[in-house]
Amino acid sequence: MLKVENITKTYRLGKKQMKLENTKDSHKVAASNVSFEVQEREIFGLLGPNGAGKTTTLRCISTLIKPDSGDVFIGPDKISVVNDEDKARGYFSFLTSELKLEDHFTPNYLFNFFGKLYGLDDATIEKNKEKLFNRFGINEFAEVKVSQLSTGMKQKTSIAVSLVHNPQIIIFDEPTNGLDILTARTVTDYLEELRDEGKTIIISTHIMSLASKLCDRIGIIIDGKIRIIGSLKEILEKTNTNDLEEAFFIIYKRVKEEDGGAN
Amino acid sequence: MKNIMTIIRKEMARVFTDKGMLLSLFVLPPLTIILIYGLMGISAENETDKINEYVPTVYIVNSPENILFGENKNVEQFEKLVSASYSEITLKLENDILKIEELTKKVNNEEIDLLIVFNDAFENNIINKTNPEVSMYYNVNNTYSQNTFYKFQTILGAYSDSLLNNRIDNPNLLQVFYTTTIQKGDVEKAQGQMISMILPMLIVIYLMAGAMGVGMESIAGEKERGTIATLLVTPIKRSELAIGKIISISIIGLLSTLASFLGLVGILPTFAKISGETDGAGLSPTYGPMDYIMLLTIMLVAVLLFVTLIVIISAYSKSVKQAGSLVMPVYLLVVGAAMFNMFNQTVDESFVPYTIPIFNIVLSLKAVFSFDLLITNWLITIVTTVIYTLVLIFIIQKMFRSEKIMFNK
Ligand SMILES: Nc1ncnc2c1ncn2[C@@H]1O[C@H](COP(=O)(O)OP(=O)(O)OP(=O)(O)O)[C@@H](O)[C@H]1O
Ligand SMILES: [Mg+2]
Repeated sequence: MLKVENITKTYRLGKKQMKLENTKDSHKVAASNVSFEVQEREIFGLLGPNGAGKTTTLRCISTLIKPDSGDVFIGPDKISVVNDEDKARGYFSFLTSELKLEDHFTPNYLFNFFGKLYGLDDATIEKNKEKLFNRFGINEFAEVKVSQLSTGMKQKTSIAVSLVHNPQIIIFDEPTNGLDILTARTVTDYLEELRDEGKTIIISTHIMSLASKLCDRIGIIIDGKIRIIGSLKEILEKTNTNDLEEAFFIIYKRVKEEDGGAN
Repeated sequence: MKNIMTIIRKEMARVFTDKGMLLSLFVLPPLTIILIYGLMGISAENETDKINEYVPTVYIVNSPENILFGENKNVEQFEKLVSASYSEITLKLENDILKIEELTKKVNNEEIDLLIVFNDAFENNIINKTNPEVSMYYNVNNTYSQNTFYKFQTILGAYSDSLLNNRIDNPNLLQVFYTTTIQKGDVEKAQGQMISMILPMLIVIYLMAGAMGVGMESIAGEKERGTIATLLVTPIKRSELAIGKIISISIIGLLSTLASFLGLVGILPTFAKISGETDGAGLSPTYGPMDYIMLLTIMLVAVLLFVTLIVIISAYSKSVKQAGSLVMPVYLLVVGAAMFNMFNQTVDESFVPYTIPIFNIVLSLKAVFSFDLLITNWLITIVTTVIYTLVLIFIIQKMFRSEKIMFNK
């Protein structure tokens, strides 16, 4: 189980960024009081437009950055991500397009390397490797340097490597970004498989169909704030619509009216 | 500790399985040394041949005649001694001292290679046991003139010895005559001296250059490509990552320096030729084990300091390119410190200069090569450098923990 409590994260903007964002404010609140819970055997989807704060929220959860305030707690022992980051990292798998694998190495080498960093013994690494490499068809290119792999092969390798330690909590930022239908399907199928194994899964996406098909519960985030949380059915009921896209636009309009175009 | 080893192993694998990196770190540096000094050696060799074949023009004013020291004791004409030392020489004798000025001008114009002037009463001075004077005029800008001068120094030495043998009855006058040498043209640094002075500078430059490439690649490069962030989500401590990187880059830097050194050793005989020494003794003096210990420890702490500097700059940079432009001033600072020391002839025994970062490394290296390094100053260099390095490592750990620095793209 994962509990996100009131995460707020503010970025300081450089001069260039201020121009780019067309603002005079030197601070940008990328996530504001974000709270949600994800259970075991559940896929939670953070759905929102570009710049909504999805990646920022996921980075805070996975300890890559520290929130200004708020915290994230793992499991029944309530391990604090803010105060016990080294320990917390052992529970996570974090996958985002910003995290790259070194071009010079092969999937096989990288899998072993990261396995060691997670403190696994060789036998465990081999066991997990066999399972993941078979699942994603990596064996065919296990000894080819990453620099020579296609985008899809790279993504498969990244997923396998990020799961080397068989983590309890899986956080994927835009898991199907840049992938063709076939590869995207492999990934979503695997996420469902992991859920059925009992894992706690969070994904972020801006693709409505992906959220409605894959996620057990969805949180819509706009301008750094979670605007609605619930299962697809609950969200449709609350917004009185019959598809997620419609629901999203209703919520988006409401937000923009409330804020008066500010932010 | 285990994590540090894992990082080091990966960094080594990165370098040692990359042909391009191997080439630029371990093959090209020694090759350039061999090439540059090899060429210098070839030209030096040609020069030596030319000098040997050259027929110098020498004017002697008041060349001493046969000097008699009683029965059966005499010293032959100076002129004959000169002829015996050369297979071929254009020797002109002149007894008009009014011509001296005109002749020195000819030395200046490179028409004459050497002018040697004995004072008027030279023979009488010798017999009367008073010290006469000899003056030599040569042109420093002309290699032939210079070499003729060197040769005549030897000839005069021999001449002086034979005069002395006959004058041994007066031990107070061990100096037979005073020699004044007058140099014409600009005085330039003797080449040979420069080359033995260059060694500490080469070491520092290669240590720095070896660490620079890998250092920037391994930190700024990984940051730029987003591969370091992948490491940051694993349970590895930021300090372990920082130390693993520092150690790996240091090892590579040292190995690269060693490779350059092998190139240097291979070229040592040519080196000696350039510095005008036939046996190369000037470059391979007999250093004892303590000298080697001092040399290696200085190199070790030096590379650690350079690497930590490079890591800080690279961690701060957004790209390898930026790191490159930021490292440049540091590189120039190091080279500058080395150059300054190269021309600074006085060996300072005070301990204060040995506490100045980077400067103390060059100072100690130079002192080791000239057998002038005091144990205390060596220790001060090592200890202060280690302290500076530890401070920098502390800063690096802080930097590795800062999301602003690690995710600054
Ligand atoms: N390092 C940073 N420094 C300054 N501002 C940032 C930084 N990272 C993100 N931001 C800003 O914070 C806001 C939220 O960004 P974030 O990346 O979390 O959005 P996102 O929902 O993941 O968007 P996308 O769908 O485009 O990936 C954006 O306005 C972005 O410009
Ligand atoms: Mg994002």
